[in-house]
Amino acid sequence: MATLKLRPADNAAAETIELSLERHDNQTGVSHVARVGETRYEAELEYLGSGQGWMRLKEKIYPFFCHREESRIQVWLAGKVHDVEIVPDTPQRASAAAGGPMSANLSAPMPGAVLKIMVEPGDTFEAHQALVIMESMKMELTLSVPHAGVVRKVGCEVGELVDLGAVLVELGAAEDDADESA
Amino acid sequence: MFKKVLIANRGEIAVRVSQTLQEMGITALAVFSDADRKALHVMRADEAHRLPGAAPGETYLDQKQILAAAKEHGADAIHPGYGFLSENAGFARACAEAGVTFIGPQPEVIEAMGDKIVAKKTLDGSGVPTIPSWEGDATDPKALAAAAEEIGYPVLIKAAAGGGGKGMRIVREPAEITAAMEAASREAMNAFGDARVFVEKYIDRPRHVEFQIFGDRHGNVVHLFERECSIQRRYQKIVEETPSPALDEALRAKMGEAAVAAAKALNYEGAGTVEFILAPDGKFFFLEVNTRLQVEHPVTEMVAGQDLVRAQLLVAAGEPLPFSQESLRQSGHAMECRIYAEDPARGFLPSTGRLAQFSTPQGAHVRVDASVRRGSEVSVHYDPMLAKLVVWGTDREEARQRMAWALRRFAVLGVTTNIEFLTQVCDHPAFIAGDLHTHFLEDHGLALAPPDTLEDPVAIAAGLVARAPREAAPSGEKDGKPTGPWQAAQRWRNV
Repeated sequence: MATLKLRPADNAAAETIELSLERHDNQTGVSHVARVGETRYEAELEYLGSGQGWMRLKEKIYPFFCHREESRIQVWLAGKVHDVEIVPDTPQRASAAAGGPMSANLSAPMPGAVLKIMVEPGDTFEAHQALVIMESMKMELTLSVPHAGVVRKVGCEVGELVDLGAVLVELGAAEDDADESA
Repeated sequence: MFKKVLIANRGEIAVRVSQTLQEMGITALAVFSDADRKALHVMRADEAHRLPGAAPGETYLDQKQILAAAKEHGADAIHPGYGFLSENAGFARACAEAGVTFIGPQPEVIEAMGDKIVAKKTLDGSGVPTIPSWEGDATDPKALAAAAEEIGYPVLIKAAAGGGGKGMRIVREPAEITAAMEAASREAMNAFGDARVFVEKYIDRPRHVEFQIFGDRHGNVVHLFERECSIQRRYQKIVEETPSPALDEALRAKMGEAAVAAAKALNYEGAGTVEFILAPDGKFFFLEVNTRLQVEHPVTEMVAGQDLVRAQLLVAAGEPLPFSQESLRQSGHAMECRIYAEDPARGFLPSTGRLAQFSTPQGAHVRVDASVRRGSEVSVHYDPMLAKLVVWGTDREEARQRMAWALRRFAVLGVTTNIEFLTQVCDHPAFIAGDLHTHFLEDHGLALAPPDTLEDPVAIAAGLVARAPREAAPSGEKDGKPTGPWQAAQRWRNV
């Protein structure tokens, strides 16, 4: 028997649910008993190769496609794509995987090119002050954070192509900095 | 007819042009940037020529390299698709000088229609209604009031030097006109150092309705009916259909005549589109002429039963149009949705990555013009449109239901797409009613929010998927290998 904690990805406010799965090997193949809260399902899942398969929950048929990237699973099911995050058992693992869950750093909201960097290490900045300008697919985006602080490190260069989530500028609160230097 | 045609484009349109070329026994020569080395449009061509680099300027927009490639490989014509060099009069001229046929209208037509003011002037007096406006002395309150009265309220006061909404005022009541003019004029002075303003008819809840036109060098000019493209996000069309639910036979005939009049005034050769703004009262006004094949041309192909690329090739080769106005019929209803790699929940930001899954719906009257396949890389270099999903039905509701079905069977993983957003549009009561206008998405507050809970079937499928690879491949996969989990999962049922 396995228990998993799952929740919608990219939504800190989302509810985490607990799923237990129990394997049964029988003559016709493998089936599972799945429990979500008080609800019990008999699930049969057949994998057809190439990231696709179908699942039967009682009489309902669900073809699916899936794609896994580390702790995230993208599932296409019933006509929609669902981004699911597997919640690790220990909080330490959570912050290791996500680089700090409430990271104050400025990261790239989209993959693209860095057009302009408007701050240098040591600079203080106001809430909503423009820090970096990025460009992707003909779109320009000015990046800021909703709080004031100090620039610790600039992690990108003008012209650089960065991935989604890449840390562009490491930020700190002014008092944090004082604490560390003390 | 041509022996070999160079397709100066990429993506779905290059794939689509290849198909017609191959059907007609013409060799399809693709060009590709380094980023597109393994792109679908290369795979589907007969021959391909490399354009070193990735940026559009050094590849698909490099006129010299493309012409040199045409010469080197013996192509006798160039199909520009849409975008890139398709509306570049200089390139059309350079092709003619190099002795290569440019598949599109005459360079002077491209040039005239490329400038909105010249376009409006060229078509003045040709029977094409342009938007009523007045450019007199707005500082004279009496003249201003009389002009606004003649145009008809509501009117729009615009800065002559304007742009970006500055120096712009919508005026709905005659009593407000003087104050609005003064405010607009002040704003214009501050923004552009030019206080001059003019008055134009303002259209509430406008629809975007365009007509497909076609001409040949034998003097034949026809229209292939309309397309309604009112569903737009950030001025970009995302859903198109034909017939337009706003047109009856009389209005269709009137707008079609105006479109043909525009084409005749230009001696138009090849495929083009006359775009109109349609007001709720049935009045319509010229917007612009696009001198190329449109993205949304497949809906016209489906209701007219014609291949527009084939017609383009025939006309460019000097042959007469393969259809006449009398022979053309609008049969049934067609709808197109543009599938983009973008995130509607985050301001439609583009999404990039490798397509872990790309499974398209199949069935009667469903057409998918795709630029990618499973495993393709969606890069930051080009437009994020992945595919056009086009369906046909005997009437609008049948087409809409088919589209709603097809969207729910279009599975794309690895990047975020607008597919779910499009299903919301198709299911919306106002869309079902055909009550469309260009601010439809904003007015109806259509938006996607990230979900707060997982439905049980989703959780169970994800859970089974999450567990399977570990059971199947206890040695574990390497970190950072996103395609890993399924490599060992073939043994699923044996574990």
